[in-house]
Amino acid sequence: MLDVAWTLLKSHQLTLDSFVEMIRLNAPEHGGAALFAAAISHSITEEALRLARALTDAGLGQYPVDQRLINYQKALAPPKLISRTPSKRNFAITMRWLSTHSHEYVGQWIAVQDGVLISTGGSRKMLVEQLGDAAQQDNMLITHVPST
Amino acid sequence: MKRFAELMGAERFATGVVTYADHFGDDYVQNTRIVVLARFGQRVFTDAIVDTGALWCILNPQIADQISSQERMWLGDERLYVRGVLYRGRLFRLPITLMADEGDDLTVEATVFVPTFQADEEWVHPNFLGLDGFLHRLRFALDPAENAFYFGAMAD
Repeated sequence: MLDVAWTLLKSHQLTLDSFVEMIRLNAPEHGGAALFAAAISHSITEEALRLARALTDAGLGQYPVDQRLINYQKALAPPKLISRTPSKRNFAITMRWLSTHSHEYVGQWIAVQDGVLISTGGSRKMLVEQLGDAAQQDNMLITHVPST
Repeated sequence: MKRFAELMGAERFATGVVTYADHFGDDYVQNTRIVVLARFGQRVFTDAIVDTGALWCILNPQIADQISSQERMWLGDERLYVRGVLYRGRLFRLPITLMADEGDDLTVEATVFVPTFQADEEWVHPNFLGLDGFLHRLRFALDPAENAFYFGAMAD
C-alpha cells in the first residue's frame, strides 16, 4: 500500500496532503502506527522532511502514545536555542595553527592550547587522561582531526 | 574581527563571531568550504562544514562515540543519503555549540545523524552542520575578507 502511495506521490497524482490522508485512512487496516512510521522513515530517506512532519502530526493524532511516532516528533522538531553565554575561550590562534598543521595529525585526537600542540592520542578519553587537570584549562582545545 | 562591533549594533543581528577555515581536514582536492569549530555535547570539539544543502547535521561515528550517552537522546535508526550514498545510522538529539572568538557562544538542541559502521569500516565524509536541523533557526553571515562567520539566534 505504501509503495503504491509513493508512486502516486512521485508521479504528482497525489499531493502531500492527499498522501497523508491516504496513509491516515489506510492505517487502521495496514499496521496502524507502523504504517505511519514506515511512511515517515521513507520520507526521511527521500529527504522529504515537510512530508515527514505532516505524517508525524497525523500519526500522533491517531496514535498519540506510540513511542516511534513520539520519537519522530522529537527528531523532526526544529532546532531549539538552549543558551547564549559569553565566550570564555578564544580558539582563533588555535584555529590558525590547525589550518597549517592539522594534516600532520590526521585521524588522531589532539590537544592544542593558544596555538601550541600540547599532546596527541588515539581517543579523546586517552588524551584527557594524559592531560589530567590541564584538560580543563581555558583555551585548551581537544579535537579530532578528520581524515577527509 | 574589525566589523563585529558594527554588526552587533542595535539590531543585534550577530551575537558571536568565529574564524572559519576554508578547507575540511586533509581533503585532497581542497575544495573551498566554510568550516567552523563546533562543540557536540558538553566536551567534544570538532570541525564541521556549514552546509545549507544538507538537511541535518551529520557526525563522524568515531567522534559521536566520545559523547556521553547522557548528553545525547537516541531517537531511532534511519537511512540517509550522504553525497549520493545511502547510509544506515542513528538519529540523536543533542546540544551543538557554535564557539565564538568574540561575543557569545550559542548552544542549540539539534537532530544529528550518526552513521553506523562495522568495526573495520571508516567514515569517509566530513561532519556537516545542516540547514533544516540546525542552521535555519540561526542568523548567520560571512565576511570572506576576514574568514569571519557571524552568528546569532533568530529571536530572543
